[in-house]
Amino acid sequence: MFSNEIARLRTLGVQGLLFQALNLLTVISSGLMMWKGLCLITNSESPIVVVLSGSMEPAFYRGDILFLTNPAEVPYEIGDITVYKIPGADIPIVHRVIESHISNTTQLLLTKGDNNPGDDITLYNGIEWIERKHIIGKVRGFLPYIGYVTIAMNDFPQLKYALLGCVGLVMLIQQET
Amino acid sequence: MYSTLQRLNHISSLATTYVMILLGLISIASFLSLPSVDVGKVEIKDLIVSKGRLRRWGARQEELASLKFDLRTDLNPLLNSYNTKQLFIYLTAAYEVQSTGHAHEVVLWDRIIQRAEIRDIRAEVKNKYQWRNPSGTFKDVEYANMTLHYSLMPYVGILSSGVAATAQGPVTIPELIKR
Repeated sequence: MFSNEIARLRTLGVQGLLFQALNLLTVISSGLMMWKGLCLITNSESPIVVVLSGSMEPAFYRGDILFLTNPAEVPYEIGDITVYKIPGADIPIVHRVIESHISNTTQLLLTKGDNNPGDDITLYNGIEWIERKHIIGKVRGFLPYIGYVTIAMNDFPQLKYALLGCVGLVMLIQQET
Repeated sequence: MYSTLQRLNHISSLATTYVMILLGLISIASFLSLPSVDVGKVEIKDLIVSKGRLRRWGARQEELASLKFDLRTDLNPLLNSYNTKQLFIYLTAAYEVQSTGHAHEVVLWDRIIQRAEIRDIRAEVKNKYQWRNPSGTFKDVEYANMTLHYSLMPYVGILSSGVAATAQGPVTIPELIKR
């Protein structure tokens, strides 16, 4: 089954093999550059997130993809759907702002999930309000289902390694046309 | 010449690209053709300020405002738009504390409206969330502006929001009722 591929690897030689590896690296680094560029444009540490909980149902389900922006000059408004991360908690949360208290120096915010009965104060790990520094971005765009791939990969790590391995192998073996 | 794997790869990447382009066009088109809404009416009734506690462990006693309101607005055009998955409507109170000049805005009531649900929204309801001021008192607050906003969630694409109804002029905050 693999005799063809092995023969191809032989004919490629060391130089050809290195060239293919370089190709692979280019693909990976350009992907990384695009992601970081998007981070710069949107001023958000993570401009694309996957919904992980059902607290915003029926609007957002697990596995939906959200696009965020975080313009530095614009204050958050009540009713905005924000993604925030509390220090000490490892998952970012997607919830709507229901209270905003602006003083001279700070803006204090309280959030709530549309599908939750009460506000988020129990999720805040002891702090009473969230502030701008906790917020990753405001939800601007929505794409359903696609993010389920990443949830599946997180739940079944073997899938992730298998996929990565396959992609790497194909990239090494494939013939330039 | 071409292996099955190559053909499959080519077809699937082509299909993904075209589906993505189509979804992009749909989101832009639906965002640009979003209908405008006639701003409806909110009538605030029985606004009361009294002493109470938040429903929360260890909450201190403070002044809480409660109210009833009539709501009349027609969100038909938005719900009939083809890329509307749900509307989220919420009543907000925006007010300013005179002494400090700090601006406050809170949600008092909200509701999820799905595409298939009732269209002409007429409701007589109470506030769903307790209305409090972070300082614990409404003494310095003269009036508040009440607005009903909508937030539109699409099947795919750009989220949008706007005003669905407003109250006639600012609402004065009454004196504290002592029990």
